[in-house]
Amino acid sequence: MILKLAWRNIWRSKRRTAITLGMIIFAVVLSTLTMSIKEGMYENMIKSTAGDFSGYAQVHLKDFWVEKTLDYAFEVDQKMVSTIEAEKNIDGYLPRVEGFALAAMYNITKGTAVLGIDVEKEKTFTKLNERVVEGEYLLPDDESILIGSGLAKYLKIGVNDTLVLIGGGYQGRSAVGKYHIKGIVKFGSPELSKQLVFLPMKAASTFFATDGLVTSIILKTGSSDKGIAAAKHLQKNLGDEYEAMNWKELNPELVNMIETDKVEGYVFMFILYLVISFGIFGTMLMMLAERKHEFGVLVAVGMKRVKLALMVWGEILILSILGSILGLICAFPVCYTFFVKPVRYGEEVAKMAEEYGIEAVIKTSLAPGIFIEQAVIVGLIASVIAIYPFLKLLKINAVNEMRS
Amino acid sequence: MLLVKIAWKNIWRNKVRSFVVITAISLGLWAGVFGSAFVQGMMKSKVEDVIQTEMSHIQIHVPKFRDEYDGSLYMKNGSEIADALRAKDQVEAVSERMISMGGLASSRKNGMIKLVGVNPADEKHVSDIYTKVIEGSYFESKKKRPIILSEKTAEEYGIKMNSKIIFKMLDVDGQMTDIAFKVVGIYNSGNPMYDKMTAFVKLDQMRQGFGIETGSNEIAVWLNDHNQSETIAHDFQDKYSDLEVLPWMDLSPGMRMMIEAFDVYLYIIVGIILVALLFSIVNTMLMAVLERVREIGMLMAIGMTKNRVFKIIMYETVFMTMIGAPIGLLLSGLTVGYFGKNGIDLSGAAYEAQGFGSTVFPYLDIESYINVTIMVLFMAVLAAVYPALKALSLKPVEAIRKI
Repeated sequence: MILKLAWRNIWRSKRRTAITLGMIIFAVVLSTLTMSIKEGMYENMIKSTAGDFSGYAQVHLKDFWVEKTLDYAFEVDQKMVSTIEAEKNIDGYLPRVEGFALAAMYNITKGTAVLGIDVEKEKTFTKLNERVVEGEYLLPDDESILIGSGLAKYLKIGVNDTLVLIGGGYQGRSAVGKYHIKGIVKFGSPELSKQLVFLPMKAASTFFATDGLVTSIILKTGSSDKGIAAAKHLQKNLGDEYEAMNWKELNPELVNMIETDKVEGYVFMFILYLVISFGIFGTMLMMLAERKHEFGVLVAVGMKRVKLALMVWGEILILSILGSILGLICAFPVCYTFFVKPVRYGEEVAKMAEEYGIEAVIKTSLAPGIFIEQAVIVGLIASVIAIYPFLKLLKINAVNEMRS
Repeated sequence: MLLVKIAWKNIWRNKVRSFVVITAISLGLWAGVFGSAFVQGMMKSKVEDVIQTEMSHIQIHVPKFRDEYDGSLYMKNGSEIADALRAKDQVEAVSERMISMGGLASSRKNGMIKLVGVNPADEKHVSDIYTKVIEGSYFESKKKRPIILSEKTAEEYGIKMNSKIIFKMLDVDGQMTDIAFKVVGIYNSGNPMYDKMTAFVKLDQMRQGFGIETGSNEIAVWLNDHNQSETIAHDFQDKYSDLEVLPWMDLSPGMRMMIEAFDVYLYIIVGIILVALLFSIVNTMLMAVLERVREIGMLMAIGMTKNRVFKIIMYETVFMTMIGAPIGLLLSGLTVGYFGKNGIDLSGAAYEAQGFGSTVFPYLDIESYINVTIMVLFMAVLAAVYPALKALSLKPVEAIRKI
């Protein structure tokens, strides 16, 4: 009965309903957009720092990540391949053998990270070929290398020069080689550019004496979340001998940065919720003031105050739920617009961001969690605020209200 | 004048309505100011931390030295340059340093570390590292070859106070030399990235290691006014054209980007708050106008022109804005002042791990204060236009007929 009255009241005054609903819908859209922008920024950061090159997840032999020596090389056997392929979150995998070597040119030497790569697979999954800024990309049988642009600059060498690499190979063997530089690759991060050397897997096998063994398997997944799920499943299926790490474990500093930023974001969201809450509160106050006469009459003709209060509370509850759902529906196209057409930073910032390998755009995230979360939060805020009219109506004085 | 009077009286006739609008305006203003102050304060403290501990305002090197810390790239006349800089008015302090990237070995670990040779008396004026010594002291002991390590390095290498360590470095001719040091102090700057790499020794001992008598490969400059860093660095650069003079924002590659990105972020924040405010005022005013349909219809019926009705509503908004704004400003002044002094504790965040204090001190410069206020007031008045126009579209007869 009370609910029925509430429902009818909502449709009795369409204007009032429209305004209240509008406020709630707008609140949901705004807070969702804000959150979506933030999450989008993180996704962008994660993608450019972790995803593009080192993958959202990797598999190594246990302890490789800490020790980082070639002695932790392992064979990619049939069992490993089928375990990885059985994992539905993984779109593909890339074997790499990672070691260290000194690169020498005339009298300059520099420590480098030497990566043996599967030339064809890198092309599909990490688009390494598109990073070549000078010279050409590798072929699987090449005895040549690609080097980072920062390294080339430091050693003062270019395409078609020859570089001597001296390092440690598998199980204490020494690794020495002379390689023709076929191309120069540029990475967003100056750190990577300064120290990377790429060799085709076959040549790397000879250089490090690893004989086809690899140190890491980069797992390519559709999103960062899938990377986490994939690493978790693989860890279970591969056993303790291996370590399947997700991007969070691989990039603890990035995670730190995001976590810090999130807390700052909460403070801002709190301020935004406060403004929104007051918008909703104001709308309710106006509603109460406007319907004084009506409430007075209802109490005068014998309606219990509790019932009256419940009825109004029900009205607001219905409106909150309706508003949250509608807000959710309206928020989607707004966020989608910024997802397809991201806002670009100003020229100067854009240039710097790109130097860092971060896409210089503000792009929203369309993760469904954000939408639902914000709709629920705003809905809750509205229902909590509804306690005010509820309490107010419990103490209503019929005569005074009707007189006004 | 009559219209102004009517508008003023209207405001006090319906107190609830006016209260809602006035509060919305003051709250919106507060949110705008406080939000910006929070972001700006956060930025400021991050920047200040980095400047005070790691960067100082300006650093001078031989070009390319920073690439690989090549020992042969040093300023032979470092002390002369330092003295010349000290004589300048804008400069408060100058510290010469000699830096080597070399090997540190212990029974537990072999690794690279950046050993910074400093003159403690000078260094204290350009970096606050001396305040972050948690064990031992900042070069106050009488030990012959003192070194100060970070807590992190000490842990990683398993080194304790008073133990002896060997540092392997290349001298200016590229010859390998070993020097022994004794640990006299352990510091923790709060930034693990910095701590992991950096240790301090005395400048003359570092020079000995390099095999030189005088000279330095880094000169850190502290200015009177940190906002002048860029212009002054530019002036110095012109004077010492064969050296590389960099202001703090160019010393770390991500710094400038971080600052610029923060500005963009600030605009977004203020933008969102303004939109929220706009909507909440439009809403309230709309309700206020539509509630008064009968009243406005009556006014129109007895001959008040639409133009005048519009004016009344706008005047009302302006008045309410004028009441709400000082309240909002007072509120923001108080909160920014209070938290600016006491800080907002965000220790739940991973701040420490990133090298920043976990407390944010909101801060807003006068310029932004004024900007935000003007924007909010403008928005408030703008928000009244639509409801006022809506009122104009009323037809007197129909309006009166409504309940």
